[in-house]
Parts: sequence; structure tokens; C-alpha cells
Amino acid sequence: MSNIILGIDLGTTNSLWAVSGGPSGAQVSELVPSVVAILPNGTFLVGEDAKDLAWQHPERVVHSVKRLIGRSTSELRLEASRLPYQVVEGQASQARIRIPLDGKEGRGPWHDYSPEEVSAMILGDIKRRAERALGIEQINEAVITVPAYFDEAQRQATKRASELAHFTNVRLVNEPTAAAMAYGIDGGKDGTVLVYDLGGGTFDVSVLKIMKGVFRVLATHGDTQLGGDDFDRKILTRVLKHITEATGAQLGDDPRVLQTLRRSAEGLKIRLSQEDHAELEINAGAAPLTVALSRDDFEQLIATDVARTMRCVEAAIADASLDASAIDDIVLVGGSTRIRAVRAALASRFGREPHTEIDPDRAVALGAAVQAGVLAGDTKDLLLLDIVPLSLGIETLGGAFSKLILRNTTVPCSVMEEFSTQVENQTGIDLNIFQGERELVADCRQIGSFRLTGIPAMPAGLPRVAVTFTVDQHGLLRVSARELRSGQTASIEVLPTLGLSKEEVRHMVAESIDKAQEDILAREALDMHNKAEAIVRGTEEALAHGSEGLAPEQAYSIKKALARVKGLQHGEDLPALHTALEELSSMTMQLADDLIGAAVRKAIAARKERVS
Amino acid sequence: MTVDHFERLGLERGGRLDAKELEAQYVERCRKVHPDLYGEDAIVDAAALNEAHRVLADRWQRYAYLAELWQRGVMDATKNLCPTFLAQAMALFEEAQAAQDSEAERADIEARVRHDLSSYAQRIETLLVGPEGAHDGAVLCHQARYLQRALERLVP
Repeated sequence: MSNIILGIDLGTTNSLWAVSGGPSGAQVSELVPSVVAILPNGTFLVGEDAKDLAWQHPERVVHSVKRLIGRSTSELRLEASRLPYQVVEGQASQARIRIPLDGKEGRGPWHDYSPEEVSAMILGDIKRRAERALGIEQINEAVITVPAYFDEAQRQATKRASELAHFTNVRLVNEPTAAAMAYGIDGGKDGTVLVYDLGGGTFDVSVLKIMKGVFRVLATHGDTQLGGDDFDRKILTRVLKHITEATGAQLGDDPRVLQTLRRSAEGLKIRLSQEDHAELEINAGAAPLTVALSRDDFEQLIATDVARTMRCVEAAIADASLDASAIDDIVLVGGSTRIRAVRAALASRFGREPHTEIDPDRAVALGAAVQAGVLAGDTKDLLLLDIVPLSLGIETLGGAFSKLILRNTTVPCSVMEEFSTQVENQTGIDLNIFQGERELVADCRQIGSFRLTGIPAMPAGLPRVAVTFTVDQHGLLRVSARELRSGQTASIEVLPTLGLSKEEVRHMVAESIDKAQEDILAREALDMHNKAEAIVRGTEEALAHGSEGLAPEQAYSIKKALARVKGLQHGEDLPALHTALEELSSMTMQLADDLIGAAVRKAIAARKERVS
Repeated sequence: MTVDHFERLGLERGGRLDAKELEAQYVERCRKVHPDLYGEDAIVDAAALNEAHRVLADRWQRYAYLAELWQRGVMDATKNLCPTFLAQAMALFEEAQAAQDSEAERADIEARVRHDLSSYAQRIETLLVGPEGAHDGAVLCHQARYLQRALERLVP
């Protein structure tokens, strides 16, 4: 059997893996929540296990890390203020996630994690799950999808995350392109396709031309900060406002309550794709408090967002030099395309129903697996031609942005540009690389700096340094340089502006080797013991703070389940511990809901006191 | 010897080009040089192929490239256009500016400029069949650029 290359959809909300052409055909995994819980002893949990801890330990449960990756804290100010965990500024204004630790065994009172490290934890977990499911000891190669509109810095950061997760060979593929491949394999018919991909945190639209198995992207547009997360937040704001109006309770400050309400808001959103009306009931004392939301209300809340996506759709069609009538098929990808208003907007624009045959949550992973088959040499007749989403260039005199590679250029592509020196015997030249569509670098994103060194000493203006900028098939920039008069290769030093440097990555990979070689079973046991400990602590705290609303028999059964977990917590009987944990988790969901009720009741009581 | 864009795509050198033929050749050749199939070393060839396609797929870029192929440096040498043409171009810009508020006038000018551009294209294609037409063809390429710019003002 040829080497296995894994297809991975590394999503904002969920991640999953897929393989094509295995003994049983294509295989797709379950959705794994892209959530990481980092425990006080520095170990971590990924997926449902991590999500279960979210309401008990909001400050150590990291979700939506994809929105942070490859971005600076100044860009993330608004985003960070909305997250329940702490985002701080690291070196060179890089975002770091600060998690409190226990201070024991050489650990500090906290540790700052880079978004790449957290992404690597998710990727590593997906890797282990796939290895176990497929019965393969080590999988080192993968096709990992990224939003088409991810810029150079976000792509580089994702690539570094994959290295941290011990993938040695990774191909980055754009999500909408992958989805088109998933759709294209069966039909195999030629035509022009528009892929509308609205996920948990990012939005992409791509226009592709499919011709004899070659998938060629003509244009792409999007917004890397728009998705289902934003819709949840809008519902959450509405719910909080309703609670405040009805009871006077201000719940915005309690992270636990917020975390639980956020989940409820997501639930409301999902229900509204099926029903015209959804309600949230809160046990607020004598009479339950009902927060109702109709589909019309919801659609009004997100109307500006949907309009924004449609403007991207128009722009992509125009960039492809096409007319809307030239689009043969529309493909929907991403969980948020289940929203009726999204489907309606597309149907009315194109006068036909979009394709939804493939589960919108799995199309991207399936497509990544198809591309993995191409790379492994198993699939011979398919080929993917992708493009640069944003123009790439350098800063020239006076802060002007000089574009070298225009957006929507097919990759790989390369451009040569000549530079010279400005003073005598100058041996180095600094190049600042930017990405964007505006005229001034101040309005674009700086994605890196390069320092050309080793230029032979000559009078000013005499050296001719030919710099070649290449965007490879992953959409990643490579720079090489040569001095033409001497024929000398100038060396290039990459000065990272965002994210981890190559050196840091190498160091981290080396450091974590022992962790990677850990026995999987030992790891599983450790994970479960850690989870048990966190849940026990969280439940005990919650019982101490917000259990007034619990019926006595409820409190009794929670305490009983808690005792059972505590009894098994340090033992070897993992299956029994697993069952006990599940039982406790299902009971504490009620406790989580009641936390909101308790907060509301407390606020009402406080107000009454003030009034009297 | 470097391979020119036409050779790279297996097309005959010329201003007129069958778009379908270009696409078919391009797609077929992509299968022979793509790094997904042939590894990292193929990047240089794949980038050259993409560049050839990018230039040839746009008729105005194709013309300028072709003029240079016939006579190196000709585009630079013909940069300065005659005053009569520049005066006409200025008049067209002003006309376009004035027509901005009237949809009918705007559409009228747009149709006229598009018509002019396609007759430019025909003349350029006739000229650029050999080195002897390179100079005049290059002049027309520069002139056409002004018309395109006027069009951009009309249709933002």
C-alpha cells in the first residue's frame, strides 16, 4: 500500500479527517470540536472532552483559535475582548493565549500559548484519531485545508502548526477548492461552479472552471472574520438584552454564564434552520423566563452579514470576468449554509437551488482526501489549479505599495524584480512584503520582511540584485536573490513579523518529540484522569456557588455521581471511569443551565432589595 | 535558448488566438508540469507555464508581448505618442467626465470606445505578423491603452 496521506479540514468550530481510496472507499471521521482545554498541570484535552469543560473552566478552554492564527493583537483587539479566555500580546505584537497553571513542578502561574501551538494540539489529536481508526502506526503526511482568503501570514502559521503536530509533509489547499473537488469526482462533467463556503468563523467564495478533470480557480473573495460564531454572538446579545429588560439582571460579566448562554444561542440558531420559532427557557424563580426568537428576528439580525457575503459573490463573479448566467452550479459548504436566509439569497440571485448533496460539514474534508489521492499518485486524472487570493508586493519609496503578483494569479507563479543599493559599499537591502489591494502599504497587511545580505561592496546603484518572488502551490511565498554582476547568491534572512519563527518551531518540535512517542494507551488514561479531575473540581465549585435552584433530589444525584467519579478517578478501570464521567456530565448540563437561572434570580433579589 | 510563451503553449506565434485552443493546450500542459504530480522541481516550469497563459489570455498583454518578440525594446521606444493623438485622448477623457451624470450619453460613449478598441485590435493583429509591423503595432498598443483607460472611467 502506498503511503497514506490524510485529508484534514481544520475548521474554526469543528475539525475532521478523511481518506479516499482506502479498502472501504472513502472514509470520513466524525466532527471533532476545534476546542482545546489546557489543564492546570499543562496537559490538554481536545474535542468533546474539552468542550465539556467549557462552562466550568471558561478561562482555560480555547475555542475558535483559527480566528487568531497569523494575526497580531492590534488586529484582534475586538475579537479578543469577546473571548472567554485571555489573549495577551507576545513578542512583536503576536497574539498569545494566557492559561493559568498550578505553579507546581517548574510550571509558572500561567503559560502563554501561541495560536499555532493550540492549532497543533488539534491537528495532533486528529492525527492520533486517524492513526487509531485506520490502524496505522504513524501518518506523517496530510492535505490541510485553509480558507481561500487566508493571507500569507495565516497560511504560514497554519503550516507551522502542522510541523508542531509532527506532520513532515503537508499540502495546504483552499477550502472551497477542496469542496469543489469533492463534488467534482462523481459527476466529472465540465462547467463553471461557484462555491459558497460559510463556516464557523470564515467566509469564502470561489469561482472555478472544471475542464476534463482540471479544477481551475478563476477568482476568489471572502472574509476571514465572518461566520457562524458571529451569528451566535448576535443571538447571545439579543438574549442578554431580553433578560436584562425582563429582570434587570446584567449577566454579561460572568464567564461561566456567558459560556453556557453562548451554547444556548447556538442551539437557538440551529433550531431556526428547521423551525419558524425557537425558545429558550430559564428557571428564574417563581415563573420561568422565556426568551423567544422567530426566524424573521434571526434573519433580521444577520441581514447585513448575509448581504456582505453576497457582495463578495458579486465581486468574485466580476473578477472571473463572468456573468451570473455563466455559473452552471452553486455548491454550498460550511455549517452556516444551513441557514435558510443564505440559501434564499443565493437562489434568488441565480434563479436556481444550490447543490447540497454532500453534507456541508464534510465536503471540505472529503475534497482534501481527494487531493491527497492525487498527491499519493492514486488518482491520475484530477488536477487542481489554485490562485493567490490577495495581491503581493513590496514597500517602495514613501510607503507606496508596489504590487508584484496580482490577486487571482494562478499558482505556482513567480516574478523577478531588480534592486540596487543607495549608498556606497552597501551590502544589505531590506525588503518589506505586504499583501492587499490598496495603494499605500499602511492600508495593507505586512506579512514579512526579508534582508538580502552578502551583496558585494560596490559604488551605490551599481549592484544589480535580482530577487525572485515565487508563490508555490500551497499559496506560500518563497524569495530567492542573486547579484547579477558578480553572480553571487545573496542570502535571505526572513524576519518574521507574525507568528513563530522557523527556529522557534524547530525548537518546539524537538522538545515535544518525547511527548509524541508516548504510548497511546497511557495518553488516553492520562487524558481521562485529567478530565475527571477538572470536572470534579468544576462541579464542586459550581455546587458551592449556584445550586440554590436545584431540587434536593437533583443535588443528591449529582453528588452521588460525583462521588462515583471520585472513587474511580485515580484507578485503572478506564471504561468504568468513562461511564461515570458521562453520567456526571449529563447531570451537570442541568447544573449549567441552572447557573443562568441562579444568576437571574440573584439579580432580581438584589433589585428588590434596592427598591425596598 | 529560452522558450517563448507561444512555444510553451504549443501555439503559433500571432496576435489572433483561439481562446478555446489556448485553454485546451494550457490544461493539457498543466498535467505535465504541475508540482502536485512532479514534485518541487516542477515549480519553475509550472510558474513559467502559468505566466505564459496569463499573458496570452489577455489580448492587450498578448499584443505588447508579441511586439516585443518581433523587436526587442519596441514598446519602450514607441512610448511617446504624437501630439494629435494625445489631444484626441484628452478630449475623450473630458467627454467621459462630462457624461457621468447622463446614463444615455455614458452608454453612447462606451459603445463608441468599445468599437474603436476592436478596430484597434484588428489592425494590431494584421500588423504583428512579422518584425516589419512591430513598430506600428507597438504604437497602436500604446494608443489603445488610452482608450482602455477612458473605458475604465466610464465603467468603474
